[in-house]
Amino acid sequence: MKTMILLDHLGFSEQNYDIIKDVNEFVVDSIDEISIVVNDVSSKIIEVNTAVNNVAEIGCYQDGLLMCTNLINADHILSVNTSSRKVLYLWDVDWLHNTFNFEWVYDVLTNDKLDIIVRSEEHKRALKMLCGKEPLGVLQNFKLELLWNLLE
Amino acid sequence: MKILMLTDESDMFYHILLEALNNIDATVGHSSMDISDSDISQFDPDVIIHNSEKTDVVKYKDAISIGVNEIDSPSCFSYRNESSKNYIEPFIRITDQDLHDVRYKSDIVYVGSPSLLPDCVSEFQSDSSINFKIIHNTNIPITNYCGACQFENYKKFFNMSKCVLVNKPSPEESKISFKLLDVIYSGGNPVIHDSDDKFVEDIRDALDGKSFRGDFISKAEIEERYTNYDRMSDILLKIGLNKLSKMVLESKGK
Repeated sequence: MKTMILLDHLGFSEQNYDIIKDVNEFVVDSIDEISIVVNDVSSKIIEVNTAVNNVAEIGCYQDGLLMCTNLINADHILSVNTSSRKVLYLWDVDWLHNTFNFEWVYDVLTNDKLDIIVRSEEHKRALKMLCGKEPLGVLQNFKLELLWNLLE
Repeated sequence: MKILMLTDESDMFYHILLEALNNIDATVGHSSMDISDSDISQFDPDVIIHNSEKTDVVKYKDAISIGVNEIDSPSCFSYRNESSKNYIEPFIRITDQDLHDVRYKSDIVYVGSPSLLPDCVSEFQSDSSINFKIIHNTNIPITNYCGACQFENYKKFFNMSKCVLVNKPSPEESKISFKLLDVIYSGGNPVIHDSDDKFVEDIRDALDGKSFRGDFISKAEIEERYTNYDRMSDILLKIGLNKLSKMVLESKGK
């Protein structure tokens, strides 16, 4: 499935390592078009064996899967008017670690155009507590194919 | 009549209090405390209201100076220190906003620092069948924390919850707190922490539909006596500005 993943950066983090490692393994023998877009291109945790573009690319990304991992980027992908399917793979319960306005968080998470996949039952509970939305599924370890299965 | 309002520290309650002067027939000016003496002279106010804790900060002698601060002085008022001679009782801001908004719906809501929440509520926090929201302006990494919220929107949480948790007032505090007034005025169902066992029992009862509103002051009484207009009128009356005090009361609800 044609997929574009929006990350804040490619620098040191468990999230970046897991996602880039999986993408690198996947693109070795796949013809699916996988690309990564970032807000900040200044550093890399490991080599990325696929296309890396500036975040501006999300504005013209059509007919694919546009995925992000946090609330702020979810708001970004929702703001672009493209035919791509928008997915938040909620890496962490962002609102516990940063002060967000309740209404803003609620409106992003409950947006009909956004599908959500969480990483644990506890994350699922926190999501339901905040806005009553059921995620499409729980996927503890990032794997592109498993993520696509959940979306189907 | 010219009234100059000076703000040193931004304080929501102070600003709500000042709002009571917006509808009277007087010239009203707002400024931060760094206004120069010559600018004050140019405006030539009759009354200066400020919230600076420095008594000598307002040097303009041709105006009556009123401080809303914690200074022990006949012309200074406090809404934090109940033992102050010039204590201002809690008050609410009158609003006609629609408080019904499904986004704010919950079974239990607590607005405030989770560190002040009694441990006995943990049984409700761990029960996934109960929608328990904690709202506070600083993020706290606990499951029920749902973010910060604008001051006026707290009322929507109060209105849309089956049960609003309110901390036990300290011995020095009045039983009628700012929060309790807001909860009742918003149509919320306040459950006050007194003893742990009673608190848990009351929360369970509230979740089953019991209303605790009757145990407290009524909404009508709050609108009658506990608004920012009433408190500003009290302050002006105490200073001896009887006519202005009456004008403020008459402008209530305009």
